[in-house]
Amino acid sequence: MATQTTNYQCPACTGPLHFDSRTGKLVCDYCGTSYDVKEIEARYGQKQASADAAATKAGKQTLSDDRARWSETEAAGLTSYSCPSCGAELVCEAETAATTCPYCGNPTVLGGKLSGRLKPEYILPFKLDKKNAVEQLTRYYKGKPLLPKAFSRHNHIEEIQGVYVPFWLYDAHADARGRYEGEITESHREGDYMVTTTQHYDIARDGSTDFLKVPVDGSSKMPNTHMDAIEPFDYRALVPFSTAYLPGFLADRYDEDADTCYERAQKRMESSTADALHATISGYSELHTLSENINVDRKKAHYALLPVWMLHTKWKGKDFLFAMNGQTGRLIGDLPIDKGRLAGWFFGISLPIIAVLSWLIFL
Amino acid sequence: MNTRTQHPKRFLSLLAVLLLAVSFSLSVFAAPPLVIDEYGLFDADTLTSLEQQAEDAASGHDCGVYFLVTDSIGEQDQRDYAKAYYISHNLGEGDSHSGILFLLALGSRKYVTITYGGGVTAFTDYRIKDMEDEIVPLLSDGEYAEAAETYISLCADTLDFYAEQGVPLDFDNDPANQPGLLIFLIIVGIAFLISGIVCAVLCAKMKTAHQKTEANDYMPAAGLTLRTQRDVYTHTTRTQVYDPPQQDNNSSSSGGSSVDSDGFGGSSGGSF
Repeated sequence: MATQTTNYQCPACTGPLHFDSRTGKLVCDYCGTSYDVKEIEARYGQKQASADAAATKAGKQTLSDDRARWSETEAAGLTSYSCPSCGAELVCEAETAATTCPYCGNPTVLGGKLSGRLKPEYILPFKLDKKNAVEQLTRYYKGKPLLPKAFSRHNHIEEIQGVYVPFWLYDAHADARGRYEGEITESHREGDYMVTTTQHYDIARDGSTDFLKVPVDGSSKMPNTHMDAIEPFDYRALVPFSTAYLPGFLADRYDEDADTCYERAQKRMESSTADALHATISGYSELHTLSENINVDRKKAHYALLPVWMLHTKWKGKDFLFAMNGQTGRLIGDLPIDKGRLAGWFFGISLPIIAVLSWLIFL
Repeated sequence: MNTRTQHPKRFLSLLAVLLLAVSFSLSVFAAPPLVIDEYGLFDADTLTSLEQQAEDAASGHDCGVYFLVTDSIGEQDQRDYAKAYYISHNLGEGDSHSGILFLLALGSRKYVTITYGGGVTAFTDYRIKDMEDEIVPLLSDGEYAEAAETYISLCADTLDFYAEQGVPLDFDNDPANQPGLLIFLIIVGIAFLISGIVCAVLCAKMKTAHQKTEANDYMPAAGLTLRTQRDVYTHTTRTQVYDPPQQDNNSSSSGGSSVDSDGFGGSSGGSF
């Protein structure tokens, strides 16, 4: 199945354009001319419409020859596209919506993957470029005395990639109602007796709150821990989706729908609502919950692409994934621990303490 | 001739009388023995050996180390008996009559330790109790000679400690109260705990990916808008628990030696 691609070209020299996260403009790789996103969007609006139509048509085509074919299982997870710059026929994952041609390096948007039902509502453009990401990751390795030296040396920081990750952003309304018994306790001595006086209160709370754009990543390939940990994003920079922001980055479409992902968002909202309800009760030495009812009502799920710099690396057969918020620079990732260094630190701290304390006490 | 032969006889008689007088006066003013066995508990060899040990213990410390064995003291208090004996027999070293006396009233099965003069300073209440804790079980077992040896040995240790350290052996400087291995293990435990915490913090810095369980960042700053907020007082409960104030009954915790109105230190004794 061929996919219609869009290769944004410079109106001046036809060189490939990529989105520059620093200036927020599309910049030509060759002549350096920069263009507003809206300007290029307008120029390519018609092209995009025809690309989408072609993608739909291509999806209905079937192969007629009898050579070896992709099995249904294999084909289900893959797609192919023809690079508009060098003509290479490339195979990529079905969810890939924007990528770079490995032969000519052209940033390419697979328009058909994002159109129609799957089209994101918003996109949060990258604010930090690759240089920032590399600097941030290099800094992240520093001050980690347990990190094996060979790990930071061999994990190819330069291979860090910018990815627009599909997220569901949930708007919801939460109602909370609770009954509690509060106690205020005071103790004092009366002769040989300790006297404890406890005042009991009947407490009732009833309130509501709204949640705006609680994010849950819609890609099963992305670990939830990493995507959660790089939050929050500043939604004030959200813009209506345009493919013009994609060149130069990878982009995925969601493979988990809004209903599937909602459960995680709901649990988080319920937890925060309960905490907020408890925060309205103060001044008691003890609080017993008699009844509590939290109800979160989902209002809307927005589909958005959020910017994440990612680096996947292997170390001694184990996978290590680093994710950096492409907007705020918050970087997350589990690092390997050098057991020798850990032992060194342990005994390097404990032995001098033993020596000093022994000297102070025994000598 | 006769008169000449009678002169040497008179001289020898006079010399014999003088020698007797001198030997009598020496016996009256000679220092009393340190181990006094009025009961006849020890055989001669044991007595000689104990006496020698007591002399060695007291040597150079100006403090007599006495062990007195007597028969029944009747209804008399053993401490009063010991004090009276100490005074009447002019015990103690030097002008201050410093010394320590352990009374073993075998017929009454009672014991007591008293100190006087410099002995009061050298033997603290804590140390005397400590010594009696070692001696009394031996008395109960009938190991009297061993009890006497233990007493003399402990006195020697105490006097040596005082001479070397310049302070009497007390609860706060008793080497027996400072179990080195236990303290060392505690030190090791503290050191391992501190380094364990530091290493745990360093390890935590290596794992930063954690799933979120809340959504506080996506709530309004005001939090929850309340429709109902009611806090109604219902009742008061009152409980009382018998818990008398703790009193510090451990008088020996302050260390040092107690002295009675007669200037004697030591214990109030007991039975074995």
